[in-house]
Amino acid sequence: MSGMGDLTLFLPEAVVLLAALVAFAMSAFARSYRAVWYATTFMSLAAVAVCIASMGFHGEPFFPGIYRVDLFSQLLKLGLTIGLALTLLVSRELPSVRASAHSDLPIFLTLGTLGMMMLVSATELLTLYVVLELSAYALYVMAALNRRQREGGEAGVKYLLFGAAASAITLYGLSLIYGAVGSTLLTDVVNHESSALLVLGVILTLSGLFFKLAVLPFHAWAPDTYQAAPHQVATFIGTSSKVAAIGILVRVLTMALDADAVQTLLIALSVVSMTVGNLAALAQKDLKRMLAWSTVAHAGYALLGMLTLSELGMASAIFYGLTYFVIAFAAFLAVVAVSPEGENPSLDSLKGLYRRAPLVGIVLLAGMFGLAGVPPTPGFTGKWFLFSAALESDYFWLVLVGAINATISLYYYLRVVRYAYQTVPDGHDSRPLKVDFPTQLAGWAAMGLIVFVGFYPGPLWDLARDAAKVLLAGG
Amino acid sequence: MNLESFVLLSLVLFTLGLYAVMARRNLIAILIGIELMLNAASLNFMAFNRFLPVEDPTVGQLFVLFIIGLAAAEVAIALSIILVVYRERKRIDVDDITELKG
Repeated sequence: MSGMGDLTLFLPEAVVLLAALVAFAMSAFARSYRAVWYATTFMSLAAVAVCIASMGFHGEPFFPGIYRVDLFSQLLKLGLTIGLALTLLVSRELPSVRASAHSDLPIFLTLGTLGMMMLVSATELLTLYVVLELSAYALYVMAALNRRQREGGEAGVKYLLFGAAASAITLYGLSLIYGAVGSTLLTDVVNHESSALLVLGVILTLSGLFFKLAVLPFHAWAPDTYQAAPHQVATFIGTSSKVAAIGILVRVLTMALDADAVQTLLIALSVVSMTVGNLAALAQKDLKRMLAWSTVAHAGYALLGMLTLSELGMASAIFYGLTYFVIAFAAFLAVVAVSPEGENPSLDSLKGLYRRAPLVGIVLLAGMFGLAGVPPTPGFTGKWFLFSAALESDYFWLVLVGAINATISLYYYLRVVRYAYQTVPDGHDSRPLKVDFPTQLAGWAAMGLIVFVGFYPGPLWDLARDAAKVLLAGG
Repeated sequence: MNLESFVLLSLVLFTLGLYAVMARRNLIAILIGIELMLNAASLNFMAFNRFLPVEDPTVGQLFVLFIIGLAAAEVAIALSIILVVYRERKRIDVDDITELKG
């Protein structure tokens, strides 16, 4: 190994790293939370701009083979920075986080995003493992920051123990891959002839990564963690971390393109995740718990594209990840907005939302229609691409299962909308909700993205296709 | 000693760790199980390094050093969160941490 590459390729990550350092320095010198929030939010918006500008970057900023910047990584990094900026926009008021920890939240949000951004570029096993843990540790700590420590501790401990066990399984898988190939570079792994040891290693590696996406049976943490983590943290786990998880899964799957065992596993997990996720979501009263189960179901849909192991399938999974996170964000924004005291919103507390906060009502409507896959939202377009990719590879019955599941999910998503557009019953709180300006801004931004991509999916789809092409060609 | 015996030992360690994670009820015992799984992976890396014609043996050694460092960081985070649970409940048994349901 010799010589460093072009360090300017690292610019988007560097901006986010700088934001984390600034947030850390400011909180260390006891600045008010508001000041820390302004600085990090501003820098996260700058990071979005840098990501757009760096879309055409490709090359290797560090030693050869370990870290690749290409269209695939830059596209996902754009999604991740948008996710960070949106999450920070709804974080100006933090009623659900304990007061002494307010300034810690921006630090861990930016550090977690940094880990995820590096994750989608990592092309070497050690790099992959280290940045995977960087993003995970930040999430573990954030999940435990709930104002009510009893719940916070429970959410943190469940997330951490499941997560640590999952990453240990991933690590064991990586060690087997190293044993089978004798190298940690992804290019060597891809070009190496397949062996039982290699396939077993890839399967174990995938198992740990399924945890991140909350695929059944690695989903057990999701409902409890979503319910008890602070709303902003649940938002972050439910949006940005899903983009990163889809990105890294797609990348790891390029190592197993001719393995039937891997494909069978993915088919089974996809069917079980969709079905169990949707059925469990039907029974939920707590809005955040319902969203957690809906995440499990959507992980199943995303796997539907990946399991074809084709360029079209990967492209549809990338497209789905990049649209899903905005839609899910719209739903979480409503959770943040209807709980000014930081309590967990139930379906009943949504009653009369359309009158108490019209903007939040509309954003919630867009989010729920998107999650349910109603046209013209990108939720519909994304499912359309996933299903047609699966059909292309002759998985008709899988598409049937997916379509039945999408129909089941209509019920509970539209039930939320029905509650939100119901008139306020007597004795129920009917005062207008105070929604702060940054949250409104985030609502408008999410709405704008949903409507724009809903009506013009073409440009994003072309980018996703090119990204999948780059990914499969790069190996 | 040959490669098989090392890989077998690491498999046993990994299985023991996984069993501890699933079967033990004490949070600290679960944490120890996770550590066993990490060490099983480390042992694998060193064994493959020693017995197989790997491209560059320093890679496997570096990997193990990183695993040791990250495991220490993980324990620090895990213990601090377990401490939060302990302060609230005075117990660290998974059977007691079951308030969230639905």
